[in-house]
Amino acid sequence: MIRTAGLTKRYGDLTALDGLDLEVAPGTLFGFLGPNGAGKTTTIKLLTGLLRPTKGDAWIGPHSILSEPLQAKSLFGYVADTPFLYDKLTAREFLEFVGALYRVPPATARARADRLLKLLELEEAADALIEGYSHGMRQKTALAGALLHDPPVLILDEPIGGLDPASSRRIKQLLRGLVGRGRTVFLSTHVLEVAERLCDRVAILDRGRLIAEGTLADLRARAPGAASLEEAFVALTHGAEDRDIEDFLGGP
Amino acid sequence: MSSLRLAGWRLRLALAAGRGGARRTRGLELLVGLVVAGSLFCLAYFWTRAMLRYPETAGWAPVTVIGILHAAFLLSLLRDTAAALGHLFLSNDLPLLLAAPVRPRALVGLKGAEALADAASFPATVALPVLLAYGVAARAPLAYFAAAPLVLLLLLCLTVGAGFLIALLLAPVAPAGRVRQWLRIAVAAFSLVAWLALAWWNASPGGARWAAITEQTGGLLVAGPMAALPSGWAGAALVALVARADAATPLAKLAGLALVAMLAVGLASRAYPVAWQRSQETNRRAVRKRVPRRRVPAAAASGATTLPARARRGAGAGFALAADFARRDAKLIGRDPNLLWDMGLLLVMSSVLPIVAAPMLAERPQWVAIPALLFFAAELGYDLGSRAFPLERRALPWVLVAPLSPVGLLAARGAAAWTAGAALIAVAGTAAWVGLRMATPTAVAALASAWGLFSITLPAGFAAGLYLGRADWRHPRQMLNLGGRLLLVAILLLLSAGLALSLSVGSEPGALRLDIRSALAWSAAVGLVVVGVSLWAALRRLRTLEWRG
Repeated sequence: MIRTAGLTKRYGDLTALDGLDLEVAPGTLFGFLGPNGAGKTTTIKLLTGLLRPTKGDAWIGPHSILSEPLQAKSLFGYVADTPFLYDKLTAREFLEFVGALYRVPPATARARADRLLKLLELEEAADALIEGYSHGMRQKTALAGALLHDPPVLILDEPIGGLDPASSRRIKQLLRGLVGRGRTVFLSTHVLEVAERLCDRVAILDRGRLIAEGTLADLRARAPGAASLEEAFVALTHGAEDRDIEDFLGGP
Repeated sequence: MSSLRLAGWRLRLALAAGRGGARRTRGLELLVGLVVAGSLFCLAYFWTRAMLRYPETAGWAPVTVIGILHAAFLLSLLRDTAAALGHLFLSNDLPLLLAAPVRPRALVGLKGAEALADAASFPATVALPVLLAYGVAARAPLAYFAAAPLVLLLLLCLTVGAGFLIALLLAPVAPAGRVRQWLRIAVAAFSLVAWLALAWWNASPGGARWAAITEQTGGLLVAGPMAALPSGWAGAALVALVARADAATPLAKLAGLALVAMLAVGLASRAYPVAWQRSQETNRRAVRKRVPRRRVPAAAASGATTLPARARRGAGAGFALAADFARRDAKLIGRDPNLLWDMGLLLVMSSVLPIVAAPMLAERPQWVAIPALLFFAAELGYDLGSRAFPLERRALPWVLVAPLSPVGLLAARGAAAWTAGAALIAVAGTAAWVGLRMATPTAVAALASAWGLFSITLPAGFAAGLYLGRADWRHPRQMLNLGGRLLLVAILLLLSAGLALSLSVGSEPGALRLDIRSALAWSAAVGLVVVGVSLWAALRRLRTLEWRG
């Protein structure tokens, strides 16, 4: 459902993403992991057409994001890591506008918006201006916007960050439910517990390069002695040794 | 941390902000500031020389200087209070600074220095050149040229100090952001009133009534209650220095009051941490605005779980999308008083330009109304176009990832903006037609010219907004960078030149006539080129636009 071939992004001398080859099958909850600055957000922006690749291409379904952008864009919903919204609109108005962007009939958009607002516990605040929302409420409003046109693919950049435990659980259930109904979810996160509990397959990116990809069992197998995804992740990305922490704590 | 060390760090941050691309912007801003200051100096010098040449007008020069000081002082008081609210209660670095072991007085002192530096640009660029020009034209002694910047600095200390005191009193009881918003509107309203008053005075035909009003206004500025204002003392000191009379008393009063203001702020700074905490509580308690919800028909409320793909199709889809953008933009603009005022202010000030710049047209109201309508249309087109994409702010990705082609997006935005703007021009044009009893052919030609001009500047505005617009704006004036704002000035100058050319081409000895035909021909030729280039540039930008966040 999502495919990349040699996807590369360079900014002058800096290579943010280097030749990414990835394939995400339909009906998968795919976790995209990596340390800060690994290139996860760059990858997502390339998939969604917000950035143009230096080399390579990406496909959403059968459509290339470069040569068939409109068709590709109609197939996914996207939530950014920092959910910027229109502060002077209410959540309801924002969702109606998103419906217009995706050519959803107004009556259908309104009905679906009502259901999403109820599902994401935003009903109370739905007619208040977004400028007064907390970070979690903005995150949920953005997710509602991504789901409004019922896309077959969801591309989410850190969707759980800043949510309270109850909301976080609700969204995880929602994502699993969507995948169970044949949707594809591409989820970027650096919260490994989320990846461990939710994802069918994961890929790990480090310094712009794909260093591992497969099921959780595959990843643990690649890092001998790793009992959890966190240990496998740290081993595969050559994370800081615990010794450094001890040195710091014991030092001046 | 000591006050000096804190100030040192703040200076380092300010210098670091000028790194990279920002250095070029700062350089350009400085250059523009110098050009503006230089132009004002020349204008003020020649105007003062002309006034001083004749005994009957010589007395008006010092009155004008005092009037400028009063206007600058009152404007600065409003503006610096708004700025103080921002510096003391809304700045992003406050949680960090207030959580650190920094004395309140050091913190308030730091913010005061920032506020003074920010506030200094207006007097330095506008007021100081005018005062220096007056001194040169009036052959003032050297002491005047030392006193002029000192007087402005003292007034600045007063307005910034007063602003800080008012902010410390207000913010604990009223939401700081909202109060700042309304103060900015008040500044804009004050500027507008001053601009309109100047336009009326400049355009008035003279006569006994005008002379009487001018006399009374002059008297009020120099004597009466206004003489007791600090700006009155500043004016009295400068006028006394030019006349080689004693300026010590008004200078001493001004310096003393500035010192008292600074001491008062120093004393009040002890209450700053508590005031800040209370202002946070007040902001949280501020009632969330609720917007009345539209009634949903029962059939639509049943809800569908699956959606037909591409459900909204056909020719109607494009118009529907334009209407959706128009509805959304009306809310984004209408619910932001700052933005609404900024747009309205620019429109009015542009429309009144012909009256300010060409008072000899005042005896023929139609020949003021037609250029005013043209300036209105030109500014409206550029304004609506250039703000279209910055209005999205950082929510622009929602539009960029939607399945909309660049042509479709531009067409939808263009249709929405054109419909709204054309309607406004029709209202303004009809009002002028009926109110001034214009001949029908003249009115129709003027309206057609205005729509044509609007249709040219609208796509130019779109291109400007895409290349020169900013998504991270916090004040409407920041929606375009300096280049974008200068482009509007260039457009209005070009329009002025075109109108002047049309006027001179169409005039015959003994009669003044605006040649609409030559203006239309000239506009059409230039317009086609501008529209073509603008649309091409805008589409190119949309096709290659990258969102780095």
